[in-house]
Amino acid sequence: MIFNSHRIIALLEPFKLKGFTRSMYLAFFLLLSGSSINTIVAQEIDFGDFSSRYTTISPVLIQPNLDFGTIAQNQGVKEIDINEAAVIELEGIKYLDVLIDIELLAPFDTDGCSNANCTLPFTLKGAYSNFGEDSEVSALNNTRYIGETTIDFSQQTGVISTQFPILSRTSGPPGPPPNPVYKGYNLEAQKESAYLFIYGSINASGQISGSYSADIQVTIYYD
Amino acid sequence: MRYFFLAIILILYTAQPLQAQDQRGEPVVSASINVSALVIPSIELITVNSMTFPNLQPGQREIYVNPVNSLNAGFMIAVGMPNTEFRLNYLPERELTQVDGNSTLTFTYELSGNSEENQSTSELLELDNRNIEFNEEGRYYIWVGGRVNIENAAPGNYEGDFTIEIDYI
Repeated sequence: MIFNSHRIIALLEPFKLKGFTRSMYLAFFLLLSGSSINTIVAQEIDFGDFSSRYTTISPVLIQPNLDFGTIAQNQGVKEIDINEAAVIELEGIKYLDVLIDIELLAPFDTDGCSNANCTLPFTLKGAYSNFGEDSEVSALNNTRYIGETTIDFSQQTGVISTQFPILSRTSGPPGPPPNPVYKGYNLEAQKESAYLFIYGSINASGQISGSYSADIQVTIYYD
Repeated sequence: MRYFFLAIILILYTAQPLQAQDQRGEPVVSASINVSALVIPSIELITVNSMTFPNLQPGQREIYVNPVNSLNAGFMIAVGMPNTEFRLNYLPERELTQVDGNSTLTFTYELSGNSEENQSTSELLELDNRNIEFNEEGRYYIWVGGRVNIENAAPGNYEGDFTIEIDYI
């Protein structure tokens, strides 16, 4: 009995290398585990990685302007809701994700403006619909809010971003990966339209009278 | 052996940036949306003259101040964005209260307006006008008159307010 007990103790003795201290072991395994985490994160299959080589997204500006019309100097908030939003139709490969940045590059102001009295605070909002609707009108019935950002004289630029598949995936486990593109592959059959709605509000609180304008840049990538 | 482990660690470190290499391509497309608005001056309504009543004659049953031609008519100027349409509405009937008593009189207002400062060519305004426009100087002139029945009124002074609402269309 005593002999057997002795053998068990001998088996549990840790593996040692000559010249390696306990702290060196610890550092080594921490590094190893850190590397493993990175490796796991990197396990993402982006079917759209090389998509730009064989296809593009076609944006159609259905409503390219966001015109607030006239607003009195002290009128306060004036809003354009989603029903009157600027609309972009995105035609793309239905099973690919798109990354979208909606960015106001400069404040909403008059020409030559350099102070807050000629800058209208502008709250930029965005939404999208990716349920395979035929038109922007029917797409309005099923939208997902992206977010909002307010740009004024102190916060001169702003961006809202999102990612979604051109055609919303059904619930449940993901299906098999799509066919790789090959010569003769009918890519047109894989196209679908999603809709992007851009809207928001301005706030007039004594700004000087005049014409105010700005440009919103929408950038679209395949993921 | 120490060098062996150091080499492994070095390889792991150098491998990490390689794993982070994203194959994402250049921006595929971009589109531009134009945002615009026109800020216009807020509307002001300036009261130049208040309406006054002429002296009553014995047996007089009604007071009438014609906004088109009476010198007793009140006079107001609306100031706003030049050549811009606006709507105007008002409550035609308002109650005048006796200053030193409890009696009341119901006053029925009449308004006339003109883009020129000329009362005699002004036109009567309906209760809800939507096709009025500020002139090139951003002004519109309004005269206030009306009528009140004093047949059963108690003697005394009466006063009341009159409200006009003006807004851009």
